[in-house]
Amino acid sequence: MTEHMDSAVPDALVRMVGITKNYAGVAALKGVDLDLRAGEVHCLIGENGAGKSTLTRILTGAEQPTQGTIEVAGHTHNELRPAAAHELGISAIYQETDLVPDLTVWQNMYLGHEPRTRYGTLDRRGMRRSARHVLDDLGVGLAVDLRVADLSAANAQLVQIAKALTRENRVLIMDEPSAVLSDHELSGLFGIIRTLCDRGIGIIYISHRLDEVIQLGDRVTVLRDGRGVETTEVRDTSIPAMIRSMVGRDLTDQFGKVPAARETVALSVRGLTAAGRFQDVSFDVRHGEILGIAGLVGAGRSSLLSGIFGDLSPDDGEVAVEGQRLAGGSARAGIAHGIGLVPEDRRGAGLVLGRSVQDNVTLPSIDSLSWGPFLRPGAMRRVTRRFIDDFAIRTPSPAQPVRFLSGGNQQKVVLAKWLARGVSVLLLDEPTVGVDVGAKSEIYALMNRLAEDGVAIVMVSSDLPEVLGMSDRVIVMSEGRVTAELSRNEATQEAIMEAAVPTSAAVA
Amino acid sequence: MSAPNAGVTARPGSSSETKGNLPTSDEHAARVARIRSLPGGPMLWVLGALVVVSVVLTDGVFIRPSNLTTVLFQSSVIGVLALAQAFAVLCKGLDLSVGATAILAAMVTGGASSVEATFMPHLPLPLAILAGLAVGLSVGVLNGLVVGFTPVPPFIVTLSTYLLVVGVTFLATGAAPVTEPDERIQGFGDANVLFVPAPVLVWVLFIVLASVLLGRTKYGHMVYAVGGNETAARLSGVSVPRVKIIVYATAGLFAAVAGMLFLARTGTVLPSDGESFMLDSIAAVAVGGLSLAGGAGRVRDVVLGVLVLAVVGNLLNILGVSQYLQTAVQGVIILVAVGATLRLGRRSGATP
Repeated sequence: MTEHMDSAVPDALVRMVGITKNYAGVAALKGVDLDLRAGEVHCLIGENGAGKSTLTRILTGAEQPTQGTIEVAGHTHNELRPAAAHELGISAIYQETDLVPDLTVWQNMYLGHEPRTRYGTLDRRGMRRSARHVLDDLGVGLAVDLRVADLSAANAQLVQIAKALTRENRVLIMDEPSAVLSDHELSGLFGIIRTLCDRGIGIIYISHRLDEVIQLGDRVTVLRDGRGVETTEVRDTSIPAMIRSMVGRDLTDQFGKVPAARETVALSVRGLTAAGRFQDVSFDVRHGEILGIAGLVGAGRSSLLSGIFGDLSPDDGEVAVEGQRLAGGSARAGIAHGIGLVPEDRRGAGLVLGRSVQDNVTLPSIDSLSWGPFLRPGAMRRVTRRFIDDFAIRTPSPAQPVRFLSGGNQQKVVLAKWLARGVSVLLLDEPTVGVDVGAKSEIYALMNRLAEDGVAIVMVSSDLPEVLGMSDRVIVMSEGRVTAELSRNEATQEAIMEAAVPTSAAVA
Repeated sequence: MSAPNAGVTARPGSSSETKGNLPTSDEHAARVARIRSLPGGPMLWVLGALVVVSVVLTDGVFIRPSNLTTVLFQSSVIGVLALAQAFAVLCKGLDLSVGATAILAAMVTGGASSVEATFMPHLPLPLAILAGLAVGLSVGVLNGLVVGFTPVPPFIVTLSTYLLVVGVTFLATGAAPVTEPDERIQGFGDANVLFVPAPVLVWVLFIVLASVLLGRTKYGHMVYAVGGNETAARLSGVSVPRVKIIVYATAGLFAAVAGMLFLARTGTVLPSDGESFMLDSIAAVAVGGLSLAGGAGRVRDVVLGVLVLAVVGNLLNILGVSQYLQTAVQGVIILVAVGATLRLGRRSGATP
């Protein structure tokens, strides 16, 4: 590249300079600089609310900066509109997919830029063929004729990545692509990201998982409270150093595991089976014990939790809490026996987003907070207040709609919901997905506290350090079956992965 | 229920900065926040402004006690019907059958209490009223059962019951009107308590009832939860079908009451009456600012929606504007009101 450009870094694809964004007078970004070189993975990290999403939304044209400039390929812009960003080859992949559920995989991948045959009709054959080609490149053995609505969250995410690859993109923004991917799928994704970099594409990679930054990133920019704290080469930094920059203080031992398992069994699962989801699952969980369930996405872990809870009717087997057999068939049965479920899809299944913190916290225990049909506002306020204080839920007031809380605080509200009712068994599905580092350790601390209080906890997680750090015992699932049960001492990443990868896939 | 989050525009988790020299987009956002945080809510101020405009344009005719009484009197039927609609809408549904149910209930009560021979056997007045209410309740329970236990969307379910009820009404009555209902019914319609027409008092009574049900009972708590996020409500132990049955049953009962107020006001009812009821009830709910996506809105919003439409209608009447033009104006009002509500809501709800 000898071509002269007016930018200081000759191979910069994008340079954002002094980006400031105000919302109603509140600054979300305060003079942030970010540049992206061709062929690099530039990681963007920071706690929720630090401004990562706002910054990338400005780059894709979804938001316009209040101040600052965006330089793309040597041209300086005061703002980008979505169409212009598209034109410049900037594309983003978000956690929440923007796929059309009723269209097939290949239709989605070419939506809006369908190739034509020389007769001017849609080149369906060509689209199907190249869609399959792109997916094969990704190492995804997905049928291109499937409807997106029938895909798992993880596969939908992969389709979205594939969709972005069908365009001539030079800048790809990935917002926590790993959140719904298992480690197996993740290594596939990393492979393809490196291929893209070799082609000269620049990637902005947002993640809460710092080990991914170390594995994948070339440079990392840390945001805190809307300011760019630092940009460094990844090889010059470390996980503790990044955490320090993100939270502005040291975080020692994120997990703070306290063994608290007692002798008595709280939850007992025997031969639980739901056709096509999980088969013949049996285990006990004692009071105060944290049982980790590891496995790849699609191994049947979330369905198993639904089956235990009662929301999904199992075909066979039984669940007992404190020796009492569950009738099953509805979530109400599980709740009546003292089970609480913290679902993976916090916003879609865990919370009524438009309602207040108080309305959410009191929902499962509304019977005890009523006098006949009438609510007891005083009692509801007291309970809510207690959990806001106790769990350090950061909210301006109990009347604040939970929509406006950060991921970590939303998760605390879901936990408070169940503890306000009083549960002896707590089922947690990916409890720290989309939760930033600081709030993560708070949630771990809460889990430890609950275990000490004698609550039996079953935790499904795709975050292996989390499984290893928090569990007293780990069971591993693969294709709906339990393939290993490991004590805290036996559990290692290798042992878990060995049991988690389906034998047929391991060969492939 | 929870207090309105008036004026909340700050993103949680972000620190505020000095507010001098805000750029224009922020001035706009700040203005929106100010509008939202008007005491009593923006809709009350719109109503107030409409009243002032009406007084000025009509040389004070509007504000005469007799005219105000008329406005309220004429609003009472739609007022109760809009409350019925609000229950369904808050639960993320819609009830297209409220208008038809109101008319059928009015025909049953009127027919059973009429001194003339009608399609109904003669009943003493209290029983005639109970029969009318029972009709409303039955239609509501039917709606609730189907909405609660099948995946058929409420729009389709209530469209079907609407047609069903209209058909049954014409079949049963042979399209004949009910006249001369028990004279106490019309007596009630003409009665005043402290210069306030009795039907208006019934409306107020049901406003209070709806407010208590939605705001002070666990039933209301669950209606908002189901309307806001059905999955989360189910996983929190709410029996979603039961809530829906209660919601549509309440709507049916309220619709029957509205029908009886209509009977009391007019003293006669035709099977073809109340054609505009269904759309009027949806219009009032929409103008009041209830989200048709469910789970958000208060009873006072519904009442304000009814009053805004009533005041505009009355103003145009006094000014001698033709009925056709009035209908067109109503359309514009609905669009403007809902557009403004969404704009205010989205602006403040914007999260980056």
